[in-house]
Amino acid sequence: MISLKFTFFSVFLITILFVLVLFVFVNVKNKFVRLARIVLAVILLVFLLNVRYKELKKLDKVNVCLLVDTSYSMKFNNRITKVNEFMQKNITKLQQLYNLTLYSFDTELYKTTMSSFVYTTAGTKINDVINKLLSELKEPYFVFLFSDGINYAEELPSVKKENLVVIPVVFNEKSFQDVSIYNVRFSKIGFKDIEHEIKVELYSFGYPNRYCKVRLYNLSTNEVLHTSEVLLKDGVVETTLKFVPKSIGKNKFKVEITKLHNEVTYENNSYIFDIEVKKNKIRVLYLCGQPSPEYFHLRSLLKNDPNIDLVSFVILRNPEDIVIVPDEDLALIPFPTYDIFVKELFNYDLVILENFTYVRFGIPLHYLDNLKKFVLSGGGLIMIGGENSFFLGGYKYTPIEDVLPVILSEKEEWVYIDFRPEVVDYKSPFVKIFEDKKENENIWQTVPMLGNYQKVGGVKDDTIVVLKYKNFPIACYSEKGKGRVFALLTNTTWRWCLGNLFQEKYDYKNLYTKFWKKVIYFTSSAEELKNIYILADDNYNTNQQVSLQIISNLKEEVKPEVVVFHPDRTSKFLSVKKISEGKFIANFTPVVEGKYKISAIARVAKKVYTDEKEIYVGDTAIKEIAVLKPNLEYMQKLAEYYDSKTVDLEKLNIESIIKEFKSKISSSEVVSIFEVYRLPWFGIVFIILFLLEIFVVRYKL
Amino acid sequence: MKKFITLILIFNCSFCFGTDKFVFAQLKYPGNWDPYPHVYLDVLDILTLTTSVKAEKERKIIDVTSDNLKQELAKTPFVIILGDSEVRIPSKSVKILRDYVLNGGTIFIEDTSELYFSKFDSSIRNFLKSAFAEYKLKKTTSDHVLMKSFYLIRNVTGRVAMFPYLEYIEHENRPAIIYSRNNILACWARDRFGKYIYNCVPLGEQQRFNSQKLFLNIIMYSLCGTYKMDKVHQPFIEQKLRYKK
Repeated sequence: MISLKFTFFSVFLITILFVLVLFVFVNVKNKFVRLARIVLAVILLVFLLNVRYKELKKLDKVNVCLLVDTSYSMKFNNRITKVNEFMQKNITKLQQLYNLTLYSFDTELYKTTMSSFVYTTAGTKINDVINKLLSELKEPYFVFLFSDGINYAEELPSVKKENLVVIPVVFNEKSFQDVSIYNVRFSKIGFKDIEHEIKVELYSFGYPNRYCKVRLYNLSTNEVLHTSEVLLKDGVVETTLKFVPKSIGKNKFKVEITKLHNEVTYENNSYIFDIEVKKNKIRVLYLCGQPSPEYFHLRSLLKNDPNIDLVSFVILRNPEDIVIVPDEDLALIPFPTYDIFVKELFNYDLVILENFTYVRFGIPLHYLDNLKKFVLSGGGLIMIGGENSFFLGGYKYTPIEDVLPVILSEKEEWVYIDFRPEVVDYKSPFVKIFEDKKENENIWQTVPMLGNYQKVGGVKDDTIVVLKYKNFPIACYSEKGKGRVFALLTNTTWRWCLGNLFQEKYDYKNLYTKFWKKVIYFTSSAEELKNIYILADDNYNTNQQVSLQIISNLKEEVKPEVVVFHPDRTSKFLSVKKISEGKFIANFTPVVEGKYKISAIARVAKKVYTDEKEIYVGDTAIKEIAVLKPNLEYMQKLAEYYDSKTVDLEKLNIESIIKEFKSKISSSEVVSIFEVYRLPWFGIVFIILFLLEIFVVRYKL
Repeated sequence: MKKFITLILIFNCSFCFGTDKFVFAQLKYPGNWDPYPHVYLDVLDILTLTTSVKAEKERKIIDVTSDNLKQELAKTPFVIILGDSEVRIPSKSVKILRDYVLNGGTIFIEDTSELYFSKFDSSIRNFLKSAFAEYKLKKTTSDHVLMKSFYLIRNVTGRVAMFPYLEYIEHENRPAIIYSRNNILACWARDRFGKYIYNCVPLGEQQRFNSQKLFLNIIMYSLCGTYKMDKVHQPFIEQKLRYKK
């Protein structure tokens, strides 16, 4: 059999060719030239019409393919069992009658010889799978698609072939009843003490006018946060759950709906998700031992920051100071030691001690122990220098000494001298005022001089020094337990504000503001200024690529290692690619659902910097079972697309269906194809004839 | 030699202006800029005796016509301007004083003329108009922070009680320029025998004490800002004020 391919372009060219051939017969008198041109036209025609020869063979048996959906939704209402029962009953007979091939699929297509199918935990991609199958199969074929029609998209397949008939086999479940969580919409980031909304869409079928309770749980505390009652109808209904987050950090929540009688499954009645609760405001407790310009400026900065809630106490009068007026004439309040160090301490995010000694006010040592516990449990502490700070403030041999980043020495001095602090590392986020490296260096090299500093005994091993003068730290920090401690060994940074007066190129007040804000946000853990951290979403579907971004603030060029710990406790190192300075990417595709832990590790000499992140994989199964009612509409559309019809599994008779549609497809299969236009000598003959024709015409032979 | 070095160190230390200590800084301008040259000694004595404030013992004089005005002001968070005659501030210094205030400095201005219409007052108002055109002078009320930054004060007085308020310009939610016309500093002035030079009218010594406390409040404000306006203090202060009534 000869086949030709007609396209608009080829027909257009053929028409031109025809006109040219006519022209040949009108104007050319040389017989050879005429002949040559006719042969050339024929060869061109063969090329243009893709002429091929097909060898056909009459089929002894009709080709039949059984394509079975084994996605997770087939588990319910015994769908997969019903398919298996059908197979058991008919498979032998079908194998005798037809050339039978078996395939199963979920999101992928699998060829199988087994006639017994098992459901998987994956979702469904009917359209992709049919496209793949139809491209693979040799025509003619009857494809019987056994599926509930629950697909990840409403999209139809794009591949359609003349001699392929697709017949959707459906499940007609008349007594279907189910209520499921169809969708949960929420912001993954919430703020402490600010009401957070979670919108829950429920899908129900078979429970019209029934009430159903929807509960929101905090999985960490097992506390019910909100309950809402919803009137069900066939289809989707929405309800909103609200709660006020009380603790910061990542919290696991669960939305659960009441289990109703005779539901197909209860698996789709709950949904687990994470919300990262951040601080709405940083609550700062500022204790200052003596009124000073540093207090004046820093307090003003904190007061004018809308993200900061400030409670400050400054000691206006020491016990030894003379009182010249009755107490009622003094605007002083008793220093609430107990409230600060016992009752209220853990309600703050950051404590600032400026030139403040506990000794003078009879503060017991165990109150300082509370302050240490506050730091270790995640609180921030800033100690600002002065005659009553560090060793001079009597903090040696107290619990505070353990958490300070500096060494308290008995030789400590409070020195008055004008000096310009030296930046230890310009990459440190605290000193990054400008993005431009040179500008940044210039502003720090011309920064107004400070007027005093605490000559401490050095810094501890885990301390990172930000500013220094000679060999003495001026600003440094370290992480203690879950908290952070910052030491500023001067109390004259206020000079940077007024320094704007004699330098016009740089705004030193801006430097002061940026520096202090970074210190406060970092120390109170309100801003991620970690050395290394992982950025990724919290939830992924199985088989969905997890893209990780690793950000490194380390000054050393270290490529971090990234390890993924799978739910089955196996681990795998990922390949890490650098995309820019301090930015790396890595990715992996989880295939099983569950909790995955990702660790990023950077090693610099003996120091190890790490960050960990947990992600939850398993949305697909939840999405797959969000609506379990067979999607007969989709199956009907498929049937219409392939000019066939849907057949109920219970009434399925493959022989009669094949008989019904046999006339639509050929009964022969293509054994071989001979593509004439691809023969190489065809091209050679064309070129030789063409050259000969030119030669003859040119020399008028 | 050792004694000499020690002396130098002490001398150096005593001139470490612009640290964590309060500095009594006064602006010198062409005219009668220093009507009470010795009051700072008493002010600092009482300040350090009754409060936890540490102060420099020396007064710092900043010349408004000096080329080093910027450098001097940059280390001085609080400046006093006194006088009873016209204040002539060079135009380049007007800009510097404006920058000083906008970057966190505080100025206390005192008209010591005790006149309703004085040259000092008109020249100061002109200066404020040219340097802080976008700001308005406001008047303190009885619950203003200056009335409770250390002592609880009911009335604004000085040697005289002509104006029952202080005027101020507010910047970044704080009084940045405070202007008094009751001659507060005259209440501190003593002769060489320790006797107060000027009588306070109309209420005599009670008024003097009130005015002295008011000036100490202004100093405390320059070091603590609006601290006493914080919520935590309000119940205590209100209770004390009720008791005083």
